[in-house]
Amino acid sequence: MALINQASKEIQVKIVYYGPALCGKTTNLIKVHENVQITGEKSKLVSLANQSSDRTLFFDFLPIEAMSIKGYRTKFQLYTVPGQVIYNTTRQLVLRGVDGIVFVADSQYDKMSENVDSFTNLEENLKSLKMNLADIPYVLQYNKRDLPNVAPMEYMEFLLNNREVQVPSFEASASKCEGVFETLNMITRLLLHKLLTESQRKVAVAA
Amino acid sequence: MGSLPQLIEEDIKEIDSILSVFIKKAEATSVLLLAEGGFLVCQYGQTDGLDTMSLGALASNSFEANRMIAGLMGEPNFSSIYQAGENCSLFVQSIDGFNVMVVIFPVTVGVGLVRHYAQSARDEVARVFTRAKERAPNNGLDLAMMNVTDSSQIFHRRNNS
Repeated sequence: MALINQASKEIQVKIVYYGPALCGKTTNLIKVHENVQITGEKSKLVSLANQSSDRTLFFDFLPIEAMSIKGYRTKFQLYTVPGQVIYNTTRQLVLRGVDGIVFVADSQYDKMSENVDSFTNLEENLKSLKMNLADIPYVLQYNKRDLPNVAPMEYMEFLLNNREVQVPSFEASASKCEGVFETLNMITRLLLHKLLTESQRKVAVAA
Repeated sequence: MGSLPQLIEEDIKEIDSILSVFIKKAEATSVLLLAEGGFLVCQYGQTDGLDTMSLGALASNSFEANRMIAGLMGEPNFSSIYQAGENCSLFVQSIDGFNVMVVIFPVTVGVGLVRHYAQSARDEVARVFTRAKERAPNNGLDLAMMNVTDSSQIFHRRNNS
C-alpha cells in the first residue's frame, strides 16, 4: 500500500519483481542500479543471497527516486522474491504491502511450466494476503529473448496474458539491459495513473 | 493499493513530538518509524551516515520473518525483537500489527529501559496512524500538485538519454 506523506510531499511505492527461479529478477534490479540516471547520491542495491551460488535467499532491494515527477518526491522501492519453490513463505512476506508487480517469465521453451506455476503461485499468495491480482497494476516481461531456444511471443501471451483484460508485456534480455527500462517505466506509469485516478475519484466523491 | 494512508503535517508534528520525548527518556541514539511494506515514514536522532532506507527495508522484513516464525511456533505474535551488538543494539517494536518502530541504542543502555518507553510511544504513534487511516478522503487526499510530465519515461537509462 503506497504511503503518502503530505507533510513532506513524498510518496513511497513498492514494486515486486516476481517469477520462477533464475528467470532474471535480480538481473533486472542490477541493470536498473547500474544504468539509471539519477541526481544526487546513488542508492545501494541490497541483496540477501546465498554467498556461494548467488541465488536470492530472502530478497533484493533497490530504492530509486523518480526525477520527472514535480510536486512530489516519488520513491519507488524495487524488490525481488526468491524464485525457488521452497521459499514460498518468503515470497508471501515480500509481497506484503505491494503496489505493483513485474512478472518476469523465462522465455526458454522448457521453462514454460515453471512460468505458469509461478504465476499461479503469485495469484495464490496474493489471495492469502487478501489481495487480488486484478486490482493490482502489473506487467509481464518475457526475458532471455537472446537465447536460441525461446518460445514464440504469441505462445507466451497465450499462456500468461490470456485474460479478459490483457496487461502490457515486454520482450527483454535483462543481461544486456534490453527491455529493463521499458518494463520499469510501464509499471511506474500504471502505478502513478492508478494513484491519480484514485485521488480524483475520492475528491469527486467528497465533492 | 487499497486505501491510501496519508500523513498530514499535523500527524508528522505529533509523531515528532512523541518520538523526541521517547529518544530522551530511552536514551536511544536514533529511531525509525516504518510503515507496512518497509516504507520509511520518518527518522529521528543521529542518522547521519546511516543508510536508513536500506536499514528500514531490512528491519521491516526481518521483523515480518519473525512474525512468521511465531506463527510456525503457534505463538500469536512476537511483538518485538532485540539484537545485541558490541557497540550499539537494535530493538524493533510492532506498533499496530502493520507498522514498526526501530530503535538504535548504545549497549550501555539497558534493553528494559528501551522496551518500557517504546511501549508507551507505540500506543501514542498507533493512535496517530489509526486517525490517518480513518481520515475522510476530502481531508487530505490531494495530489493536485503532482505533475507527471512524461509518464512514459519516468526513469531514464544513463547512456541512452
